[in-house]
Formats: sequence, structure tokens, C-alpha cells
Amino acid sequence: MRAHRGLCALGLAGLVLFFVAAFTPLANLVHRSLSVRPQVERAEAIVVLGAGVSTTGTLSDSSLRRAVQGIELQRRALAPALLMLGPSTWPLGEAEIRGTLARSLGVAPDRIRLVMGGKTTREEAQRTREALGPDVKRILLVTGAIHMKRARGLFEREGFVVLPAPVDDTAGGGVSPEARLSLSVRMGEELLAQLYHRLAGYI
Amino acid sequence: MEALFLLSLVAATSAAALHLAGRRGGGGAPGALREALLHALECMGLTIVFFGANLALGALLTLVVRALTPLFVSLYLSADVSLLVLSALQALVYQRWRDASSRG
Repeated sequence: MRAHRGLCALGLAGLVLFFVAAFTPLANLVHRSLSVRPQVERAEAIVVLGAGVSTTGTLSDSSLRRAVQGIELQRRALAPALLMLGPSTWPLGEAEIRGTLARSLGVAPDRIRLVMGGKTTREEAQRTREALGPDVKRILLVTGAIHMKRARGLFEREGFVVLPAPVDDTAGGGVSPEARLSLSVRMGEELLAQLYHRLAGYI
Repeated sequence: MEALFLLSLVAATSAAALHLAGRRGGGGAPGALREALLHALECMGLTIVFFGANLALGALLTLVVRALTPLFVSLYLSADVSLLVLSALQALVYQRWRDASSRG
């Protein structure tokens, strides 16, 4: 009987959480408070973090948004180097696809650097340090607005001065119940990831 | 607007189902409805328990594979909406099985 009541209470809590997340603007308000404000200034390099590519070589929505933001910053001459990151995947890596996109959108090939193989944000920070060498400090970091806080911490640990150039991964936040639920899930994942990184001592 | 539209659809079909059940005289009593709602809440609670267990197991297996092999498995692999649907199925079957066992 106690187990039955406990399960009913848990179910009610889940139902309330579902309605609040899907049918109220709370998800958008929390998203705004979690997002890092942009600080777009001149830097020594623009670093665009990976966000996924399909096996057919199609960039994910987030990956494309980040790549376009990085290209746009480079075209504004905010930094001499544009670093495109992404894991090495078959048949084409995310970084290579984004490099091709950058060239086709007018970025000079000698300005583009591909940093491949980083499978986590932590590995991306380490590989970026290896690629840029010890002297480069100020970087414009391009990643999702929700992901920026954790990414910034990891890059600062590698000795970078991070200027955030966040991308709205959620295309303006949630305007439909489905979009608000998706946003809530994404924020939940990120909060768990931040907790994991803190417990592991990564940030 | 979209939320209101969706909630209206659910309200309309729920009202139609209640009306039909009342006319047929099968399960239309208010006491039975209360019982059904409690049953549904319990099923949701079970879904959350199964979902949490599935997520925890997924995260544990991911970390074990990362620690013991050169393979990389993303922690996001377990965060798939289909896992929630499968957890709901687990909860429904478990609840039905438990109720059938207690009756017979």
C-alpha cells in the first residue's frame, strides 16, 4: 500500500512536471537564465566546437548553425584563424565537411584549420591547445548557448581567455509544447553533464 | 495557442469517451473513474522508476565501456525519447502482470 502511494505521488509529480515543461513558458525562462551572454571581440582564433554529423555526411542542425556563426565571425575579420572541430567519422569527418563549407562561403583556405578527433568537449579543449600552441590566449568560442558555460570552463582550464560567441541551438527556444519539452530535456542533459564534470574535477 | 488547441483535442475525446462509457453502463461510475486515475498515476510512477533505472544502467555501461576498452560511447546515447516509450511499456506490462497475479 505504501509503495502504491509512493508510485502515485511520483506519477503525479511527473505529470505536473510534464505540464509545466510543455504548457508554460518556464522552459524558455530557465533557458534564458542558463545561457551565457555573448562577448564578441577581436581574438587570436575562432574555435567552433563539434555538434554531430550523420553517416551520410549531413551536418546536424546545431553543427551547421555553429559552423555558419564561425564563418560569419571570420568574415568580419575578428580573428586570423578559424578552427573547425569534430570527431573523426567515416566516411567524412565533421571538421572536414565544415572546412569545405567555409571555403565555399569565401573563407580563405589558409585561414581554416581542421582539428579532428575530439570526441568530448574536454578532448576538444585539449586538442585545440595542441593545435594552437602555448602562446595563443584569446579565443572566440562558438558553441550552443546552453553548452557554453561548461565548454568555457574546460577551455579556461587549458589556459585560454574565452570570449563566448554562443549560438542559439534551439532556434529561438520553445514555441510549441514539443519544442519546450525538447528544450527542457536538453537543459536537463546539460545540467547533469555539468554535475558530472564538477564531480570528476574537469571544471 | 498551439497548447490550447492540443489540450482542447484531449478534453473533447476524453469527454466523448466518458459519455460513451456512461451510456453503455460500463465503468461510468465516478468511483471507478477515480480508481482509473489512481491506476494511471501509479503507472506513470512506475514509468519514471523504469526510465530512471534504464538511464542509470545506460550511463554505467557507457562509463564501463569507456574505462575498459578503447571504444568511445557517448553518454547521450541513453538520452533517447524511445527509451521513455519503452519504459512506459515496461511499466504497463509490470502493472498488469502484478494485478493479474494478485487476483489469481
